[in-house]
Amino acid sequence: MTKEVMALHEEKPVFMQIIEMIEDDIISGTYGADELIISTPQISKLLSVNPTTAQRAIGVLTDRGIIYKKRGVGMAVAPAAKEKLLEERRARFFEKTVPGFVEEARKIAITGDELIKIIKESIND
Amino acid sequence: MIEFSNVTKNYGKNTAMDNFSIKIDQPGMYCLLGRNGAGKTTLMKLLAGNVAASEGTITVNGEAAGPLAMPESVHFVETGATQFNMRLADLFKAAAEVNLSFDVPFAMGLARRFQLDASKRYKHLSFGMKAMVNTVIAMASGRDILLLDEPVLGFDPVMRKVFYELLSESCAGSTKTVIVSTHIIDEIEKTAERLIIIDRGKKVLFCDMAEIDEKAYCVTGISESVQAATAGLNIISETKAGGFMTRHIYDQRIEASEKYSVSSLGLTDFFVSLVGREQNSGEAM
Repeated sequence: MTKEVMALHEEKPVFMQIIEMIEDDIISGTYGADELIISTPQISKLLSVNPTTAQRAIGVLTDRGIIYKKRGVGMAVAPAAKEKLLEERRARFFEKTVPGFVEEARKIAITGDELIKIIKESIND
Repeated sequence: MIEFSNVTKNYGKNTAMDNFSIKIDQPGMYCLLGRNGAGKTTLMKLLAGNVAASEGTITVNGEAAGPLAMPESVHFVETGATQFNMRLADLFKAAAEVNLSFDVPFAMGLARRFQLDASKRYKHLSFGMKAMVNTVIAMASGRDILLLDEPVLGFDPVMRKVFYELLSESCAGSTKTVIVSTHIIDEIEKTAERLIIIDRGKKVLFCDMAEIDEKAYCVTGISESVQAATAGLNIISETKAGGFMTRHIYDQRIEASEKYSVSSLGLTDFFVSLVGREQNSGEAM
């Protein structure tokens, strides 16, 4: 977790933000398969949040099969976690991000051709 | 385990506890919040057996608690409690003589962490330091249930931070139940595991601290949209200005939209909305 992404905001519950931070680290490869992730006390100290909130985030990730308990050492990344998260994030991207983006463009009168041009340009940057 | 069943406590015509019931069956740190006169101290006094309930029963580990049967597992630190005017090292030794389970080395260790000078006499300590000593004695008492009434009153922010760090360190992995009452929410919001809110002698809320993060939020936007979006939810307070409205909610989260924003409340704002509402409406009238 870098300093920048570590700043908490108020739009979402803190436990959801912690979940996203850990997911981002798994997707980016900071935590590889079967590697240990940050512990609950570390999260609570680092972000200065309540330990039960950190625990809640870890609990949700465990229930979803993203992480699992390595007996006696801590929580580790499930082997298929990265693939699973990428799938989820892509689904969200197509179902939510893209329609929202297109809708916003339409609202401010950006044509389809312009939009495609803008996307191409920003990819090349 | 602590259990209050329909406990009422009257002081003359004043009702300090009003048909109050709670069951605390997990160890950990509990944050007890309430306005002045809400009944926080009375709750602690009843639990420690310092005063008798007017009605109802209190049990500690299955045994009835009261002035005739003061629970041995409870250590109560009152606000402004004082100790004998001895050097701290001697004070700890004296505590061990009256309480066989008192842990002198542990107390000395805590005193070092708090930077308390063990060669100083109690009366020569500053106000905050005295409160620290009272708490150190509680933590080293070997009792299962610690009741700390306003332990950080008069502490500077640095001392408060050290205090809560130490409290959570000594709670972690132990089977102690620590109940802390306070008006300073900042640090305890990040430390306590469970939350008890009382108002006018009644229990208003008893939940995990994580639930505040999840369920306490505020919705702000165009009045009609906010009303429609929050219909059926548990609304704890509402403020209107022009065509806009803010509602504080304690319920399942909803997603923000173009017409309204959703943001977390935090314990302080949540607490004020929850127990301050009648005062607010009173002012409006």
